[in-house]
Amino acid sequence: MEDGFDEFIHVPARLSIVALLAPAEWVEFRFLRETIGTSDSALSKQITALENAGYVTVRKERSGTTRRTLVRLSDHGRAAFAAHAAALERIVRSARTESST
Amino acid sequence: MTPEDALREIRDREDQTTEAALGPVPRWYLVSATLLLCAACAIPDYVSDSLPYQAAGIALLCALGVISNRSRRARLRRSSYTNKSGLLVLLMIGAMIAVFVALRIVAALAHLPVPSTIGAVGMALTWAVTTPWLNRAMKATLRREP
Repeated sequence: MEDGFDEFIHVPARLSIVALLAPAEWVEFRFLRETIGTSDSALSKQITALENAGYVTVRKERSGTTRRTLVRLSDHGRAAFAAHAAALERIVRSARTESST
Repeated sequence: MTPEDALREIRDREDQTTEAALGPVPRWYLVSATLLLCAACAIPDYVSDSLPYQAAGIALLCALGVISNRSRRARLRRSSYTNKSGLLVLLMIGAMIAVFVALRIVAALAHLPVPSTIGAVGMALTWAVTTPWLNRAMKATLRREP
């Protein structure tokens, strides 16, 4: 297996979540749900798994009468995602090199 | 999922977050901030000691900005912004100040009764026109992560 490749992140549902979180300081839970097109419970399950692995942190915020849940990538999660993306790049690059030779 | 598909998924999802963070400026914010900016800069024409009113106007503008930002569904990391992003903001501020000063000077030279108001209207309109453009242009200057 390529160095840095993270099988935990590579699960499609989790990869989508982490990729959405990567460029952001934080994103709303609602945004993740609507963008990925999944249910509250399915998303919660994945977020909890990521939280338990130390990849994301979840914060609830009250703004007037509304409440919102904010999700952010932890430093550990960000490093793991960066390493995973770099590993994917290397795999694709080496596959292209092999096919061209 | 193949590595190529995964990389494509990552790029697409990152773009979606950028779009959410730098999407269209809310119309209520654009209108209210334009009016407030105009009022804060025009006030010297109507009040002798205008500084407290202008300070209050700027404080209100900042508060509006904070409220508008809170309505966003995502916020980009500071490290996503590049020097070019900062340059764009500076360019916009420079354009607003230039429009205000130029119009004010022209109005004063023409002996018009409310030079600050004329400058303020020009500046506020510059802000209203360039803000949506700035948001679009900003996306092109962002740093890709990771």
